[in-house]
Amino acid sequence: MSTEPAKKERDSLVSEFRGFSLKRFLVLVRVELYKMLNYWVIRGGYIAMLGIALIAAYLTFHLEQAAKLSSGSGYAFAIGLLMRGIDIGSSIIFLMVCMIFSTEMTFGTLKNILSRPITRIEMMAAKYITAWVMIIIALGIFLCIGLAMGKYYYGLGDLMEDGYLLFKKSEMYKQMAIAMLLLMVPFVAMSSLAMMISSTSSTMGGTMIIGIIAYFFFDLVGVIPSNLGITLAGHFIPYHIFGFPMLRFVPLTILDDLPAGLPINTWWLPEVKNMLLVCSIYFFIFAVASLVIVRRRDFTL
Amino acid sequence: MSEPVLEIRGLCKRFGDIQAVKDLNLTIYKGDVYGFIGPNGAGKTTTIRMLLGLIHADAGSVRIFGHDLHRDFRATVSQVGALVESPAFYPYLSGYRNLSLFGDLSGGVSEERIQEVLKMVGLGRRGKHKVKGYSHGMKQRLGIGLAMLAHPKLLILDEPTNGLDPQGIREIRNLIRRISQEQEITIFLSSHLLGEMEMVTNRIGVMYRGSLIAEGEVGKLLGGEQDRVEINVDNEQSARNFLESKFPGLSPKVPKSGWLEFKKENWDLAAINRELVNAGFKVSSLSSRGRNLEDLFVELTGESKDVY
Repeated sequence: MSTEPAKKERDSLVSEFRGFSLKRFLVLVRVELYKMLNYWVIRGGYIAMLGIALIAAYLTFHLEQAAKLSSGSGYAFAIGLLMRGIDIGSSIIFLMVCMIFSTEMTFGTLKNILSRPITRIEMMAAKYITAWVMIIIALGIFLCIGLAMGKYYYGLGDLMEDGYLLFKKSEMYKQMAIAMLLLMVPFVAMSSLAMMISSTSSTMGGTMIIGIIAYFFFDLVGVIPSNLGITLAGHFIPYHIFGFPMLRFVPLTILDDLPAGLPINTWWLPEVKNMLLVCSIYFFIFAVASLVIVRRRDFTL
Repeated sequence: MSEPVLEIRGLCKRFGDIQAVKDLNLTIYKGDVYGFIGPNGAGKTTTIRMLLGLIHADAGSVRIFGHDLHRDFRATVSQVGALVESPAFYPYLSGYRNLSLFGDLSGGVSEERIQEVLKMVGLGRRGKHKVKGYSHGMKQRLGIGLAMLAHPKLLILDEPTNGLDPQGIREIRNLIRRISQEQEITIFLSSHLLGEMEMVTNRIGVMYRGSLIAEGEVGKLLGGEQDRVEINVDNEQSARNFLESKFPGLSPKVPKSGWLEFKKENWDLAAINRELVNAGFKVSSLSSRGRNLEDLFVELTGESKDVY
């Protein structure tokens, strides 16, 4: 027999979906994207990433020249730059995603949204999609700069070595596209962590502080295996499971073998499976937590 | 009696040890301009937040136009426009763009409607400017504009004249009167400006310590009798002492500098005036007036500054 609070909760949950309109939801996503992409802090973040990518490209090429080394191809150069980009840039991306919800709290605009015919789950879903678009733009910046500079320095055609065709241009782009798709998986999990943190906080400053602590906690836990040695570390705790942000390097590490002439016969590799599993679990935990927090929270804005 | 627009039944909310709202029952009818008054911390804003689903009620129900807020949130709030406490906008966007974005979330409003609303609240020429450059009064006006943007049938305004200059207060008062009469919008208004409330509302509810302690039509609650006497006199403290000794039981109050006030009852006003003048006090005026909202408010809630 259901109790009164349980019935109330069920009614409330049903109410979240009653009268849902896809058209209105898409409008909500558009509005979310508009206000985030027009916020000068977010634009500043993208400009910072652009700067990081250009400086990294310039330095990489000239250091290679000085050391009489060569990436060998535009693809290798682009992949190398992408790896450096997401190494440095992912903390910026994380903080930018934190802002999607925390700006509403800081400006007080959340009350304007919640007093429209929009349910809390709908609002959060739109914010998640906004986060993913923002991540795609950020990764796109690193990829495009890498490819553009790679083409400028080395050229981007069919991959050749000593006159022999290793891989066609189409094959290179296809594998890069798959890697980018897989690269989104850890970032989606990271976005859910950012959303969960920002949904608990009342100010942007608080979100940023807690966010940076949480991000570096998970990120640093992830590098313990490489510092201690994977075998040694594995004796104690499966650190690679806790440090899920580090899994962002998995697709690019596999992709990195391609310009060296090693074909990728399948992406269904144990490390990719592990990445998908771990990131899915983290995404599920953080996303559900963020939705429950936002649904139950009293907003005294 | 016309159809009920807002029905609140047994609404309760507790924040820790504080019972912010307890067993609130309230009905607002179509065409009402309902004044919701009470001292700070009485539970007015908490009630308004619960009406909009910003905070969850511990118990009770809210029905707006017959829809249960809890069960049918979208249908309920789609007919409501609201300004809750201080207005909130994206400071890096223009007033126009803010209205446009929130209008989209309400189902879409035309460009003409946005311009019309901006003109209505006196921001016709500043609409294209970024909100970060607006004064508090301008943001307040924009907040009122936002509340009215999507042609709501119920308008909930929490302290709409906060931060406005006297001219702005007058404009908002006239605007509230106009939209209530011309557009048949039901208005739920919370404010500390009791004089303003008296001028625009037809029904009021007085909140105190989370409970509704009085409710009804303004005229009936205030009564029509001219039962107060106001005297404009110099040296009001001495005059008060003089009257208390000369007319035992009179107990006049000093509501403001240069004024004495007391209940008319059966006192001989001519005698009071004569005694004051004979004692050397300069009496500029002596008149009787009816009870106003402020008198009612003080009678109901007392002079104490302790809310809890």
